Amino acid sequence: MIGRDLLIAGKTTEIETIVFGGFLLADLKFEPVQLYSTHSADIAPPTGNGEYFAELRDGTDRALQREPIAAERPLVCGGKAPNFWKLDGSIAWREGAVKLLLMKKDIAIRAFQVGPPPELSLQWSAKAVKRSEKHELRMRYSRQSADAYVQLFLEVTATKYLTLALGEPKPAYVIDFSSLPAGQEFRLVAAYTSGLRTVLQRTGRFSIAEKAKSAKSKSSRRATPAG
Amino acid sequence: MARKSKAGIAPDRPKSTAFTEFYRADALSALPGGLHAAYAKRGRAAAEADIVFERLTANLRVLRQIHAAAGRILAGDAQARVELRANLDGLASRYPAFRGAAARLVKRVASGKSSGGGGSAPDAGVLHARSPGFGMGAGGQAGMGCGLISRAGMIPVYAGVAAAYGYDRDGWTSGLDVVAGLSGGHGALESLNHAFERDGVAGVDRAIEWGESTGDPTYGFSTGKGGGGLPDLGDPRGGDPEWDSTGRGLGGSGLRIPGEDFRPPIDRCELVRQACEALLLDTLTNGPSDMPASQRPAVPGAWAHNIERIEFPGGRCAGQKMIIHGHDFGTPSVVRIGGRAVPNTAVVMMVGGECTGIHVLNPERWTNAQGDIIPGPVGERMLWTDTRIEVKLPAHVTEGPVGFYSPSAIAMYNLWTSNANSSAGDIMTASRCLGTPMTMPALTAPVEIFQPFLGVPCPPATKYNVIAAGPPIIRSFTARAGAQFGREILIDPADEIGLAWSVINADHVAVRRVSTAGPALPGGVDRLDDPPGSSVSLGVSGHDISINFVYQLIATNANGCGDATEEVIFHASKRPRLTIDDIEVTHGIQTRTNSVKLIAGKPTVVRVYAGHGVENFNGTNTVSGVTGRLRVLRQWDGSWSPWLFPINSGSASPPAITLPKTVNRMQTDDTLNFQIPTDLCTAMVSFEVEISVDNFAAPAGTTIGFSEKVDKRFDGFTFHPGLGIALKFAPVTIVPDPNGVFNVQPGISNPPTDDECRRFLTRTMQHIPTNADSISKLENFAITLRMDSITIDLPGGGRIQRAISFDIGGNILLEVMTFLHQQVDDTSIWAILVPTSPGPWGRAHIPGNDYICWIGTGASDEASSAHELAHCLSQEHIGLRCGNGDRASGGDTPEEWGEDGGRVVDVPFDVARNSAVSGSVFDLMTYCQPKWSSPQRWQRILDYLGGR
Repeated sequence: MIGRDLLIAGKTTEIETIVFGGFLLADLKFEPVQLYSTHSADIAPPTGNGEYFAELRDGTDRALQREPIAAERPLVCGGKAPNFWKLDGSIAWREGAVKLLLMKKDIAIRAFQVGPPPELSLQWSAKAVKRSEKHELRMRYSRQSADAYVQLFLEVTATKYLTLALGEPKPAYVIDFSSLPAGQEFRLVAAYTSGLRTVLQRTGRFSIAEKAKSAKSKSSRRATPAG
Repeated sequence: MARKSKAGIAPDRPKSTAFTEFYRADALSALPGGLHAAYAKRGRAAAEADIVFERLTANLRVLRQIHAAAGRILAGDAQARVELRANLDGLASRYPAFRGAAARLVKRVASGKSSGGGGSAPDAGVLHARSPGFGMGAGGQAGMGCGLISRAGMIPVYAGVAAAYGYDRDGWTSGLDVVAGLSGGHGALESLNHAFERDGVAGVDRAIEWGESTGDPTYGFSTGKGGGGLPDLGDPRGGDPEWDSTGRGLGGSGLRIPGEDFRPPIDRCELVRQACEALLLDTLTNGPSDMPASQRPAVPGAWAHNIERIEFPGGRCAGQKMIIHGHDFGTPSVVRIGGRAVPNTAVVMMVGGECTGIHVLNPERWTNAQGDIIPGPVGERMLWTDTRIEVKLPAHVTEGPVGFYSPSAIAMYNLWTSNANSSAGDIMTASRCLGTPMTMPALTAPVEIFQPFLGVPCPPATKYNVIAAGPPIIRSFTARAGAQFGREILIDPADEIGLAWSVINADHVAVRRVSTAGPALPGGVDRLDDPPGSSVSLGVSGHDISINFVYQLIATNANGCGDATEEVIFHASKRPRLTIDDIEVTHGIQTRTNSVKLIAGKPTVVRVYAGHGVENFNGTNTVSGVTGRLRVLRQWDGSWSPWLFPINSGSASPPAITLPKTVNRMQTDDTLNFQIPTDLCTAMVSFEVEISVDNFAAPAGTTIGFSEKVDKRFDGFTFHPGLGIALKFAPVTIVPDPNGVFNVQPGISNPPTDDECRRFLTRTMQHIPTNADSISKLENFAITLRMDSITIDLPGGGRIQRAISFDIGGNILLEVMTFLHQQVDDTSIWAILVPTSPGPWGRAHIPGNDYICWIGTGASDEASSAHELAHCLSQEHIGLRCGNGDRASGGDTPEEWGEDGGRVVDVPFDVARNSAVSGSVFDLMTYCQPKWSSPQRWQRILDYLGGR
């Protein structure tokens, strides 16, 4: 999932840091919660416990960069102490890197292939929509990696975003405006992460209008059986 | 202001002075100076002025003496009565000119003549003595007066005169003449002094000129009708007419009293005074239409000297015949008095211990042509001759003397007193003109100067007329405890109890304890014969159960008419002695000193701690049926709420509790609990509590027990403004595991309904020291949790889905929701509510804005939710090891936490369930059950909220 810092900064393709986080299960299976790249250097490197590390490696499997990973047992109240760890970390991008390894000491837990910067374009022409309507956002994107995903936001204000979709990229997204707020100056923001590299694209601004009351009541009356 | 006279003498005009006594001495003291100046102007010596002054003031001095004597009479001094009467008689005899003075004054005022000399004295003519309006109108200012004499002071003078003559109209006429003459003659001084007060020496000049022009010799100048010089004053240096205090009457030096020939005043102020006196005189002498013409009759009496023997041929009981033998019994007849037919003679004997008349008519009189039916307490037809009278003994006849009395004499006496009292009422009314109404001795409203003769006179006991007859009569038999007495009384074990009676016509009296319970009679017996006196003490009751004590009184005599018995009952009960000791005002947790801060608008319960004085009574130490009410004083506007009633359990209305000897805080119904409407929980308030019990410990078979009500006020409770938080809930749908690992929470819908979530979070807030500003649903999210996956449907139609086991999935769910929450810049706290069973897990960030936990219907479910919410509010665990071995990790050790090592020693009160939380209770941030916010936790969260 895309960090808010990236959204607010509004940049699109530059990559300086790879951010990752998730749960490490007892069988050393890693379930990611966050996995994206960002230009921001605001993310402080986590303080590790000396057991978990992240490494960027080149095509010869040479380590280009190594950073500790913060690992903690999640505080789950009331139950037994959890037998999994929550891992959080980030690592600075290095040219020539082709994969990211998450490691427990010297054991590679999970490897993520790092691909070329992905491409993304959006097709959206609406300037004004109504809450009674559904509109389609068309998306074109470069070939995806196995872990690729798109996170689609509605930008309500410069600091307020609603996540509309999160998952594998699709060529079209049908957006149901009935559950979204009405107002002016909205944009759709798509963050496409593929091969650990993230790109952002925005649509033009549009308004969302309340559904016309007269139309609603008229329709309602027609729906009522006579007699 | 001083006014300069032509002669250069400038005596000060006297200032108006309030009456402090009969006359204004200070005002009078200035008058000689004015006279001196006026006389000097005429070339006359000051000594002559002094002689005139002495002469003018002679009446005032005598009136002052009468006033003083009258005051003593009205105060009950009998000697003063003799003294005043002798002096008045002496004055009347010595100065014949007084005779008829009262009538002359009344006549003059009534005719409107203001002046014998034809001058103008305005208003006097319109003041008619019998005019109702006159009396009241003038009376409004009469007492204040504008003259020397206090008008109101004349009231006791006239009242004293009337009293001195025993209200004998024939006698008091001469006394009233003397007072009227003195008062009228004094008018010349009043006129002169008023002229001086008004115009100084010029006023005195005019008064002298007026006197000269009308031939008044008072001032000793030429009148044109005679020679000049002073009139014959007798011996002006002889001083006052002597006032004889021995009661022999006035002596006298020959001083001439001006009242012999007083002249009508020319002064308006004096006219009013004299008019009022005339009204009073008219009433006293002529007015009272009912004034009896005769002296007061002698007080009626009874006699028995002519009775020689009394016999009872058939017995001594009611209905049997009594024969009176004797002589000169005469013949009873009927006379008419005041329009009523009254017998002239009747038999009197003791009935019910009272002298009672037996109105007797012999057969001849019964058929009398007058046909009068004689009213009376007892009418009996019987034989009456001059030497023998036969009387049928009336019911309730008792021993005592037999004799005769005259009902007609009583009727005449009472007619006289009635008339006299009516007249006194008229006099009082008339006296209002002079000031305050006349107050005669023993005179109150309604007027009753003379008491009528009530009842029947008792005959003397002689050697022959005392009879023994009738049954014994128990007038009263009462149970007593302190000041309480009656036929049935309620007693406490500490009460000293006793019996008292009043019996007549009895030879013997016995007291008996009828019930098996109750203190024995003196001497430890159950029956006491002929106890001395008319009461016995039974000592301190000392009972320890509710029961009735019954005692009986038996009175007997030898008359053969039967015995008399009466019973009394002591309802032995116990005074509960209720007290209100303290109150606890709680949102859920509170100390006994109410030190936990109260938050405005939070659901609040007041627990009332009461006490009582019952110990080992009826085998218990409790008081049942205790109820009460409470109201709230809003200090900010001084208004009281309506009374609130308890919310305790039970079927009673209003709810009642059984109050133990020692209140156990953990027992919900050991205290009276009141739910306070949240709108009253604002700013500073006071509570007024009233508790009561009705008919406590009534003995079996009765409903009579002790009822008590006590109240107490508690001040100084402040509800602080809340630092509200907003809650949004995300209900989760679960897909239960077919193997039963993952089930739906009983009592909760799947997904939980909005109402279930709101109620759950509302109760969660019991543990948090603030209100939820809002509790609303997180719209447009749909979350599904399965054994092996999570799905989040997003607003806009998107979906997040992860294949993961539910325990990990719950954690991922929280992380994802936290992430989504951060994006929307929403400061509310999101609660992800999962209806799982078992659901013993929850998770939150410390601090944070999101938590996940299961939702249930129990208090422990709500406490767990509050535990996670408290994490969001920066609260860490306490690592206290619980009884089942669980121990929360992280946070404080019990020692670091301090306060009771994570235990809650104060008793929480579940406001939502009206229930004290009993047993061992642990702090909210432990894993132990039950858990509740401790006072320290409450304050920690409050501190965090305040610092956000």
